[in-house]
Amino acid sequence: MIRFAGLLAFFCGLSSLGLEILWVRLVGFAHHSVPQAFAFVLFAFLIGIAAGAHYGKRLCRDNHAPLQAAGMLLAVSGLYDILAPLVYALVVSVPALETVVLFILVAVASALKGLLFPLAHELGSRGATVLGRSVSNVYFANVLGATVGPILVGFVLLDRLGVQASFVLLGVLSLIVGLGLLAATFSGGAKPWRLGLAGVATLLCLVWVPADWVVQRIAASGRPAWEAVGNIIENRHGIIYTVTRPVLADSIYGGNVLDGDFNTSIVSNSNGIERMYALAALRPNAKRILVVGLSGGSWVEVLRHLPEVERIDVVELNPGYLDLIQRYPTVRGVLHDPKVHIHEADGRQWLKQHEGRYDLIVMNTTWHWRAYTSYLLSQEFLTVLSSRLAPGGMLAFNSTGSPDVMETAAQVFPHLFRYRNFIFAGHHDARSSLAQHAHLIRLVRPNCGSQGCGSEPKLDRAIERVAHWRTEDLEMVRAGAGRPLEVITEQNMLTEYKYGRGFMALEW
Amino acid sequence: MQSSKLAIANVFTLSGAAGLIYQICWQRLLFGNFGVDMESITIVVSAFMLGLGLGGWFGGRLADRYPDATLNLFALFELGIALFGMVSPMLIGAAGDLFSRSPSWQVGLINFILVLPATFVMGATLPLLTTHFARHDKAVGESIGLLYFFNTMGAALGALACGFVLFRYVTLNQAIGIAVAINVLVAVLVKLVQWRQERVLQP
Repeated sequence: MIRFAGLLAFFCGLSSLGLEILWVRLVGFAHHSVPQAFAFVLFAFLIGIAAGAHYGKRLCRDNHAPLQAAGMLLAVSGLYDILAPLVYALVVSVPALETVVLFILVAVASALKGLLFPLAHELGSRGATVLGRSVSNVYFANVLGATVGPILVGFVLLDRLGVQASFVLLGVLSLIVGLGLLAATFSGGAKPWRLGLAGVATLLCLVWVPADWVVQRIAASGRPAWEAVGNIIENRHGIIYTVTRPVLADSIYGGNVLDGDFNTSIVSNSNGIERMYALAALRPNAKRILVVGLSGGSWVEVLRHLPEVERIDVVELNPGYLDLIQRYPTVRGVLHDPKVHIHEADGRQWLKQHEGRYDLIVMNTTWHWRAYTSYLLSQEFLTVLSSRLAPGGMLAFNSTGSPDVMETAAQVFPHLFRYRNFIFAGHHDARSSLAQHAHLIRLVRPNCGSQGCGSEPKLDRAIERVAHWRTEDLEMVRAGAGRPLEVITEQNMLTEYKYGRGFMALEW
Repeated sequence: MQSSKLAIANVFTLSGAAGLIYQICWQRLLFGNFGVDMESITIVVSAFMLGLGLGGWFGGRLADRYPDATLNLFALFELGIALFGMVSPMLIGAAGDLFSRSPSWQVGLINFILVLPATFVMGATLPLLTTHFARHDKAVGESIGLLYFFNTMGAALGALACGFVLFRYVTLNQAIGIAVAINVLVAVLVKLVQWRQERVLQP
């Protein structure tokens, strides 16, 4: 009995924490990676665990066959874990329902596991001579399972199977363990067989559901019919996919948030790629370039064609982007250019571990409200980047609509301006260089795909536009913000919380 | 007896809230110092759970050994958590500077070692309180269910507060300061309840 209690507590911890990681991934994806998604899942999960413990207490009091009750609960929760993400994917496009249904789905999932914990303690304490030890043994087994769960799910399952199949696997495991317990304590009656049949029927139904149906449905939610979601790549770092539209270039999404387009032409310019071309004039003759964030590779494709560039270090955490780039001929060249060195790492860590200064640092910053973005937009990190600029060097990065990023950059760089959300900052005033060296932009000739980069007259007009950009200085950004601007730090996480996008209307 | 049991269970709610505030803040601080990726997240969550588990294992044995001192030990452990909480931003910052160039397995190990002392002590508090209750109440499942319920409700509120309220108004270190204050308050409240309980039992 005591051994059963330990095993039950271990499995309960493993699948609970494993499920928590899976729900965080799924909800984070559905809510465009806002940091509040993690807090919301944690809240719903813990409420469920608390409710489960509360009712589990009653189960202990009223039930004389705790092992059988545990088996039944595990089997039911296994079926639930398989079906719950499918239900979520069905309601995700109905904003009025989504948050409520999500709360219920996550809370019930964890409540079913929470119910098991007091049962395990009851089992463990039956016949135990030393009470404290029995309590702590069962508790330890539970937490040991909870330690293994995130490692198993985070490192192995999400990397190999993806989120939907991981839910199915954990559900099937619960079902098997539950039915096993029921079989071991079988004393007649039809319930275990009915549950077993329900489990087999559910699994047979799932054969017809594509392995990425949940992700596909969430990604497609709210999109017009002419946009097709494809190229879904899942790994432990996240979920990326592409969106194909008629006529326009394909877009790339990371964590269900727009990363950019597969476009390198300054003429079509659907992704503001002119900002990369402009660097040829803003920092003429740049030889060493650092790019933090590879994404779809369009920027690096342009940068590697800047005149005189000798080396580009690209730091990208998610290798899934490399797979995707391989599928697009326009940008594929960045993977095979000996000048381009791609490092699979976190940008901040990579900078700590490698020396070197750069003529240009380009940061493909994601949206300012996404989880952990303040680490890239903070005064601390901009100071690090400033120290890695060679004399006359320039930092170019996306402020993604946050005026506070301009205020923050102004604390670090004496000269800066903004154009279309992009901040160009350095230790000398480069604005006059734009018109002065605009002719250098003409030398940038990346691969623009089968359509080509555009006719010469069109190129001339595009370059002319860049030479006469209407840029904004700090005072203009301050005046347009409508509130006093603040400095982003790693401590205050301004862009994620205070001025973040939020999670529905749940903040005050 | 019933009212003091409920009072201590309520105090345990506060303790749960402080625990989750620490967890979320430490995760952020550790990511900031050691890198933002799934490996770090997984390692921190796992290390947190193992620390809690080892503490739980130890707490139960401690409760068996000193059955009359469970509440005192609980209060002492809460103060211990507060003490660690107070120095934690400094500790994580210093470790980040020291080991920033280390390979990822070493970073994982350092993350684990950093959160271990506090999570170990946090983990020990549940069996201490459970055993205290169970000595006066035979239904272990019920006792643990009640305490687990209150503690987890507190943790849920801590998660909600961090994500939706605290971080909008205070910095990471200030949020840790709030958790420290909660731990100290919990220790004081438990001692007050115990003192009141002893006064009632006096002839």
